[in-house]
Amino acid sequence: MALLRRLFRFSSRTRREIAADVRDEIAFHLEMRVRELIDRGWVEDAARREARRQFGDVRTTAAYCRHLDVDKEKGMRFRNYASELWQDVAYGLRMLHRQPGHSAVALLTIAIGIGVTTLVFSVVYTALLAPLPYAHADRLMVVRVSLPDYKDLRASTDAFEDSGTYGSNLYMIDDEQVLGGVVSPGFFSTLGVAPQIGRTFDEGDGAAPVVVLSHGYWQRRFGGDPTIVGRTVILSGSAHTVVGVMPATFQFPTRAFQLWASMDFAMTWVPQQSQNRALRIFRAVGRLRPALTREQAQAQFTALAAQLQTTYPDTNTGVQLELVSIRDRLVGDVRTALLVALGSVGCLLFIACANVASLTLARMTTRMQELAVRAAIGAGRWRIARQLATESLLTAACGGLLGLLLARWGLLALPGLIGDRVPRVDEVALSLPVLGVSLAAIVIGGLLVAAVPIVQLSMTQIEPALKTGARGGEVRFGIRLRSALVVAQIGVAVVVLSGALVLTHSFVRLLQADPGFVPDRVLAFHLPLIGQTSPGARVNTMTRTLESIGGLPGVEAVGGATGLAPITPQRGTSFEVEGRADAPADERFAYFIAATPDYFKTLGTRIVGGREFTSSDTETAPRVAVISKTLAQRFFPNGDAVGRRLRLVNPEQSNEWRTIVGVVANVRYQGLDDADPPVVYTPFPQTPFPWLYVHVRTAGDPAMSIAAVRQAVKSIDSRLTVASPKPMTALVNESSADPRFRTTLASLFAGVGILLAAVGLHGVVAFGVARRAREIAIRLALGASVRSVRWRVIRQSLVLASCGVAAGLAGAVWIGRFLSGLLYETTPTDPASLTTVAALLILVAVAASVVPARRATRIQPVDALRDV
Amino acid sequence: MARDPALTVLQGTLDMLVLKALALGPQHGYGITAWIRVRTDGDLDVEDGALYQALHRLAHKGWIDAEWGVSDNNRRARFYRLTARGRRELRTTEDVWRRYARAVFRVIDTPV
Repeated sequence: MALLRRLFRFSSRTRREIAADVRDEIAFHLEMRVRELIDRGWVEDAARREARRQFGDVRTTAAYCRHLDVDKEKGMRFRNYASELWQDVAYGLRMLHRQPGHSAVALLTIAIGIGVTTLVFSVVYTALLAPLPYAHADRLMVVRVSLPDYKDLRASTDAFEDSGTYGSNLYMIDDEQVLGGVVSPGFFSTLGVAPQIGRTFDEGDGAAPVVVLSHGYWQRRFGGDPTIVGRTVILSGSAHTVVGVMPATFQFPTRAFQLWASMDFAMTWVPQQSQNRALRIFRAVGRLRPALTREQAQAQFTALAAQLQTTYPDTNTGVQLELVSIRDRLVGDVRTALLVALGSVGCLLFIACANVASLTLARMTTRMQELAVRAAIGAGRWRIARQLATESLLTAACGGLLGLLLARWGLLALPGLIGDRVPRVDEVALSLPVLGVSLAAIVIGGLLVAAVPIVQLSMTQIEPALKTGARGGEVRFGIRLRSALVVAQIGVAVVVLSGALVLTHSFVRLLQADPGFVPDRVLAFHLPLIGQTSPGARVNTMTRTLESIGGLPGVEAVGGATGLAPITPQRGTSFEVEGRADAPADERFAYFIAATPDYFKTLGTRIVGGREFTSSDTETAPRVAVISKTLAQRFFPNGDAVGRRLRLVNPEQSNEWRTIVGVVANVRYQGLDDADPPVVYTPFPQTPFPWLYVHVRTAGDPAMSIAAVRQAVKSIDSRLTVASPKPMTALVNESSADPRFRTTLASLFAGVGILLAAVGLHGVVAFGVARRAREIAIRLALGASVRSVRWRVIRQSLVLASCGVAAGLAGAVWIGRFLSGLLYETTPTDPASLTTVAALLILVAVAASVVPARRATRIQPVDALRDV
Repeated sequence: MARDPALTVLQGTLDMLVLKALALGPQHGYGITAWIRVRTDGDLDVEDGALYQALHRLAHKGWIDAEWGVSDNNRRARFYRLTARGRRELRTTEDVWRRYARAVFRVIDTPV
């Protein structure tokens, strides 16, 4: 009996009980000793004193014993707990093993959920949250400036304790086009990153031609040669000395930058750029003084901008100096896409967990008997709940581990998939913070999965199950809970899907938008003319090059311009229309593009009025201009633009009046969503820039003509290069890569979400059919038609789906607000998209219930009735 | 008759004595003191408080177990019994003690 009692002694002694036990024990001892002494002839009082003397210090002994006992109880309680936990884990593992089908589905579902979540979060973490590899990155700010503005900024504000400027340039290195930074000495000291080898450049280098290489370019081009420092590299014809190599983590402003060359040297070639206050192609990067808040700094800059506006109205009217934190600058447009992705995977994870919970619930009903037996032999409700929770957490943990493996594997493919869109993608890793979040997701998912059967358990009488089997009223509650889960799943799926559809719709609109040119069969390439220093030489080279290309077989038209649609207009300018000097400043700004004859013909851009440039618009001919439709409508709403005059207000260009000879359709130079900006075109010979984007319209595949074009160009001057030749269709794809990326991601997640929700719905409906087999059998036996029985099953699915769709649409409308910034000519509550979503989900609901419905009517009444 | 003063128990010896006492069967603290006195003819002076500290220490180590029971004169008393681990422990300690004592005796008994 004592043995049995010991075996089941789970209840442990409290501190109070221990104290009482020790007290009683010592009291018993003293009592016995006193009695012994009295027997030996002591007087009672003396006996008591003697007993105490023999015992020693009662109080210390009691305290010592209490302390030991309490400690022991604690240890025992922990061991009990651990052994119970081990029991549960072992049992859980056995359950997983015993039901491989169920386990595989549950594990895979969780693995996908956790894997995708981890992957997306690791990207989001690196791009948005991880510390930047620059000194005091939280105080680094970027502001768009022209070089004279920057000079004033340095002279009259003290917001930056250190600052530098940078711009970008396409360099030709041995026939290869390389994107590089043109940076001032302060650039490196401000970012505070030490070079991997060699040094960066500083004020002491003056206007010396020096260059710092990126780690990637050094590896790729020079094989990581450690003796690179001091070597000479020819950048677009001018020799530069390599002084250092930056570490791989230094990717500023993006990872596309391969090198950073001295701006002071570059300015000796184009000195007018450092004088041109309107040329805002540069950015200043500065480190704020430690005591200064961003708002205080911005106030200084706003004051300076206002002052510059009054001093230089021609160039600075309406121009602000806006501070952007370095992280915002680096992350830019991708932030929203990443957050959309994160939100989507969060939804996905929820759907996945709900599915597993639903599966667990379905299994619960078949396990009722087992649980009832456990309860009958003395397992408390809490003990059973703990066992269920352990099983769920175990499933989540195994699935989660699998998911982390998936994520690890996915990381390898990441740079190839999104490397061009997301900053710092090479640094994405399963870092500690990422793993922490994944772990939290696993635990939360596990608890969510565990909570459902526990809630059901708490509302169910277990004991009757022992008598009646698993067909009591308790099952009804399980069904209701599962239905609620499915409604929630469908709701969430609707939100994700409608987001994806709205994005898709917007993307389609974007692709359908008229960009102002016909990209098919047009080859575009960059022709740097930097080697020709005199304007006359550039015009001469341009003319001969175009003639040479035009003479190639299969070439239908050839023309060039200094802007490349739909990637970049390269330059903008202020201008003044004759007699309209009073027009608001922001209406007097336009893209500024120099074009050759036949440029518009080659692009397929419609001439709205007048003519395009011809070979007679030479350097010495009367000054002329062509304007875009938007500009014409703004200043000449009556359609009489041709023949009127305007002039450029631009320190780099002559300000003679130019006669408008033509109006052309709007061309979207900066992305397909560029909102039809005003453009001023001038003849290239009258404004000979040191580069040209040549466009060639071919009879066949434009990519096939690259070799011939290259040969034709080399025949004019062997130093000329055909840089980055690409079909314009590829450029169009490139320019729409961001929305394409967002749309693809969202659609992918929506697809998975729908699939998971369909699995959940199917599970509930199928289970409902199985549970009601007897009822259905009776109906069939009593003469119900097959159709009516099937309809009842499908109707159940439809009701659930409708509830989910209704809830989901409400959610989609609410969430749509966050999407509106990403959309092109589409509203987030686009009725067409939302209707499609609803229809699609109803379709999915029917599809998910067809198999169970068919099964329902195949129930043999006799079998079903005998089965009970 | 005049007796020599009782010997103080050496550190570590008390634990073995307690285990040995319990090897004969479950017993309460007072019983153990009585048994030790009888077996040693009162030559060992065990302070009662120290004995109880030893009992709780051994229980903490898991060598003995405690339970309330009823004493011979029908009083509620805390009984201790040896666990399997305690029995093993006793066997090793006894061996060590025997070897130790034999070694010391061999030295002492050397004829001078």
